[in-house]
Amino acid sequence: MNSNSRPSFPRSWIDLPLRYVLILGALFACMMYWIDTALMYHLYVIRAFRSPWATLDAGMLDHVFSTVPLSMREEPLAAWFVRPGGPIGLAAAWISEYFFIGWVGAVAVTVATALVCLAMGELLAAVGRRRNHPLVFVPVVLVLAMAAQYVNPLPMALAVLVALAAAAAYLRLAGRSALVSAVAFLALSLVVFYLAGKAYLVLALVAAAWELNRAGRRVIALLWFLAGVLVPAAGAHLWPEAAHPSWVGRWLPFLAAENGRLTFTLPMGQWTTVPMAIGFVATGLAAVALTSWRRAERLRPLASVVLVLLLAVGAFLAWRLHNPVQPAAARMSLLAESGQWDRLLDEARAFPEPWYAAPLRHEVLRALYHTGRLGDDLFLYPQDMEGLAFKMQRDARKDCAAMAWSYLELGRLNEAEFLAQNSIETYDDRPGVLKLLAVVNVAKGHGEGAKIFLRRLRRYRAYRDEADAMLAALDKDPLLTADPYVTHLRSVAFPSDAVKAHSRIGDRWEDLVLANPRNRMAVEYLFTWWLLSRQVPEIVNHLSYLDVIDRPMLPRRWQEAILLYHAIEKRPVALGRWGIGPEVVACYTDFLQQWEAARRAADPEAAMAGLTDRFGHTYFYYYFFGPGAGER
Amino acid sequence: MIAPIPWRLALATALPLAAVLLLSCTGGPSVPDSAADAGRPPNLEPDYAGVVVPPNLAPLNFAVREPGSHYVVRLSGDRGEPVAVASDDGLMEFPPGPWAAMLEANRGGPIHVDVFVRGEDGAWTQYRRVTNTVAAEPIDRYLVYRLMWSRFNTCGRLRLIQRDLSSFDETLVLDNAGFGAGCINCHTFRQNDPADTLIHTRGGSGGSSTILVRNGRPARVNTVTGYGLTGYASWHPDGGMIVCAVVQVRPFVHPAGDIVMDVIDMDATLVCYRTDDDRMDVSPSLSRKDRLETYPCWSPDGKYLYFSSARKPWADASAFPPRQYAEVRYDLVRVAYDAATGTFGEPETVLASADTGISMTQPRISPDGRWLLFCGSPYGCFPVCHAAADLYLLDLASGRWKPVAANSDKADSWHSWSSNGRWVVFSSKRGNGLYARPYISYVDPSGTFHKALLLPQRDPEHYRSFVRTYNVPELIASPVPVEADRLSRLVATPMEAESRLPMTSASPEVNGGIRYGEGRTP
Repeated sequence: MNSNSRPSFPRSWIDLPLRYVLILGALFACMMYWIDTALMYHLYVIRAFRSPWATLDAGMLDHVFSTVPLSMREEPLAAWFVRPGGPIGLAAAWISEYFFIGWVGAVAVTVATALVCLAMGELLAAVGRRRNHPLVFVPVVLVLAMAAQYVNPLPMALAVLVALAAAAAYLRLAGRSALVSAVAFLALSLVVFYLAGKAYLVLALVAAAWELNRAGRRVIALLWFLAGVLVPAAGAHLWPEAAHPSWVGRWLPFLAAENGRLTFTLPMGQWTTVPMAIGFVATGLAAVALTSWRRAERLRPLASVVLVLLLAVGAFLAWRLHNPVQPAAARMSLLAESGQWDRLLDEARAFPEPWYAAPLRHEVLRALYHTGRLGDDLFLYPQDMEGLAFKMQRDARKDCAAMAWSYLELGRLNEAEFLAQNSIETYDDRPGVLKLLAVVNVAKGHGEGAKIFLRRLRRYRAYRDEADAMLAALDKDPLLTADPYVTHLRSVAFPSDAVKAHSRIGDRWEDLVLANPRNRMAVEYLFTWWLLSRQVPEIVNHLSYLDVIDRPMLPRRWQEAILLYHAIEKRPVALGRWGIGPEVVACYTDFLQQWEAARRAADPEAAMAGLTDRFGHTYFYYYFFGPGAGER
Repeated sequence: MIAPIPWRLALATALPLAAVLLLSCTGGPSVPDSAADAGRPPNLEPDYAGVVVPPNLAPLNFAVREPGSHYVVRLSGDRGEPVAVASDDGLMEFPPGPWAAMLEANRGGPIHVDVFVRGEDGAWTQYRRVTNTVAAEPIDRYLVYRLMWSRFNTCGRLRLIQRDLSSFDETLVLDNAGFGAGCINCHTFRQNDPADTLIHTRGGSGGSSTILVRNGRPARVNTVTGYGLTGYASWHPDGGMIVCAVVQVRPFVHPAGDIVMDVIDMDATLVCYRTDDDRMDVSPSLSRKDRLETYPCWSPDGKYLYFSSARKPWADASAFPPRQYAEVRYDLVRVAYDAATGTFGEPETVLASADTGISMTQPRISPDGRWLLFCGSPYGCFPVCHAAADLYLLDLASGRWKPVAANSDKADSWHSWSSNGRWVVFSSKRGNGLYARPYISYVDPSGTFHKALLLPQRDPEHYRSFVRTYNVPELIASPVPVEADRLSRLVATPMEAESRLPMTSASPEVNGGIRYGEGRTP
């Protein structure tokens, strides 16, 4: 190795170029204000680590699980140290624990990425290039692309950091002799593989590329390249505690054993591993390119342009990969958890309709009830029968947490507990469900049962204060007799243990109403069910249930249903103290006219779209055009 | 070149280390010379006061639930060196070596627990001495149980775990993550010997399976019958036959009351699997169309098969749950078995539910054949759902039966005898009422159960926030001889096989419609 290629050490780490500050500052701003690591945390909390073990090989768990904050995992600390990649995974999980504080997460990701950039710079310096070459900012794009999909980039960033740092060290040592190169590579391999697991591949690729292009040692290059596979294979045998039948899938990226076969795997969403793939491949290729740079000096300006373009494309990719649905769902879940119903409904209005899953629709119904708008604003949001009702056994695997909260507030405590336990079985013990189970048990007078859930809940750092407060309250008064919410739950609790062999869906609310006519929530849900299932005669025949409704006029959509019944059946309706407002009659007349006009219009589709815009929020429209209308 | 380590740095590192080592060799914390008498015993969690301890059990770590700023606990016996530990948070963890030595030295005798607590004012309080007894007889060293979520409706993550009772070590026997999140049903050992083991799984990537470990060698065998999939099982003592229950188990939710999820068998029968020639058959005595037969249990001499049997009060399964579900009470029944001819005799009722007023399930006979321990509940076959479920002991010599003293006001069920007959492990929901924990009770020769102790954990607070249930704890004398990976591979590999016992018009329609490999989670 000649003296010109000897690496130069940095003059000062403080002497960072302005572009570092600008690019990493932009990353921080994105993490803070666009991505919001607090939402990332809550996404993991509410849905993200849904049974990864069930479909993925254990080999992928290092990647998937180390993105999960520490307190959500059950294994002891020692377990982290007996598997490759464990120490870095532990560090990432520990830091991720604080992601619920938005700025902490943004700082952590930014600092980790900055260190990766510096390691890239060091790698470049080791081959005699500038530390602030545009290539060093590729990790920023990769991190952003991952974060845009609400996948925690910290574990990957830390693992790649270790691998890059080791690669830089290798490049500094390897030029001396083949023996030094071999010793250095083996030593670094052991360290990197143990600390960073799969990211070891980065070291193997860089070292192989350097040996091939810079040192011209083809045999060694081939060996180092093979080491990228062989070291993980050896690791699988050396770490029997972590061993798995399909060790190939265990230690190589993107491969997993599923049903006894190796398959290509994209953990945590369909595009999650794309940035990783780009990262691995780009690093290797860049290293190859850089080590042969000397022979291609005239391409240097062109390469810079390509790199800048790469950054731009990467940034565009990150923007395109950003999924607004996930953070919106997380926000709505958080708002429901804290009972901010108006804000939840505002958020729901902007939520893209195709993603309105049944649990979300149910959450919206609950918010409408709590804001007193259920009978009025129901059809401002996508509705169908499934959002309100579901079959207990058939839908047991769905995320039943929102429905469990409804059951709790309706007074069906056992069903609430059953659904919450189902939710735990399927999605693990997320804090919202633990809280629900605690409340259910308090309402049932099972203080000791409630405490076990609260103690579990306090393991989630973001929920610790809340759990401690409730535990303290339970210590003072095991029945929480002074708590108005608990008192209300007890007042509406269903009293009868009579199990029905055959029951209609509506019975789940009507039984409650019959047991306790003052159960307003049950009345409103029952009428909503009749609305959604188009059982208009039931509404008309059970107006006596509405005595519990404390308002001068019936909710608007119920009036529309009654009017519709009257119009279709041509029968008088005994309205009692209730009436149908003239504006409802006018709206119905208008609706019929517009519908008729739409049918005769030259462009019926456009006319129907106009009808939807104008009457989509009415029961008239839902009755004739809503989901399930075609079955009538 | 590596720079030499400066000697000051080396010294600065070595001195504190040496200090720590020195302190750790001084025999533990000292007990205060004087302390005020609290006049009452301390609150310990778990409640390890007045219990009988197996001489080979891991340390009974506990938390002292008394206010204070510093805690010292001293263990002493009539023989051997006392052991003292201290902490600032009341969580007392005993060193395994001295603990084991103390138990060994005091076999058959008492060990005393003295608790000292220093208050915020610096004054010490001593609580009334707690005395436990070390039994002379050891417990089987390993305990195998399922770790699962509470309700077990959608299966979820489920692991079969093997705990070394002499330490806190747990090892995996089988993990359903290894075969597509199927269900691990029953695990059955032949007389506490895991060399002969039967494990059932349902669903998952390889379909439902039966794993037979015979003389330490595992194989996947076909035990699927025309009636459905096999479940609860019992090995004949000679290992040549396993009797299995085939049950059509269905859960439902109670709209109110303490029982949230209930489980009933809509139909149930018993079938035989002959291990020596891989053959299945059924006896009319074990498979009556008008009866629900389940929970088989061989007597240790192999001359009788005991099981639970109830009249099936519904004619068809169209209405679910049937209105008579709470009227189903199981009798304890036995049939004689002639090993020479391989034939069963006629069923005879050992205990009738009409006489006892309870439903009797999960019979397990002590290794000496003297005692039959069963679970009694108000109705049905799934006592773990009933808070009123308790363990009862039937003296097979006299026919007298009684509830055992180790019962609680919550569900006590799923019991297992140790191979010397002096210990019983069972699942109990005492404490929190929701999650079952393994309890160990000493059974003296007169059949008296002593106060049960909770399976100790390294972390004394382990159970306080552990939201999984310990299900079907089974004692075994040695570890399961097959590695988890190998078992997992066997289960995950699909096996095409035809039903072994075709259904006839006389057969109970236990699980009709489920084909091999489909499985279903109960």
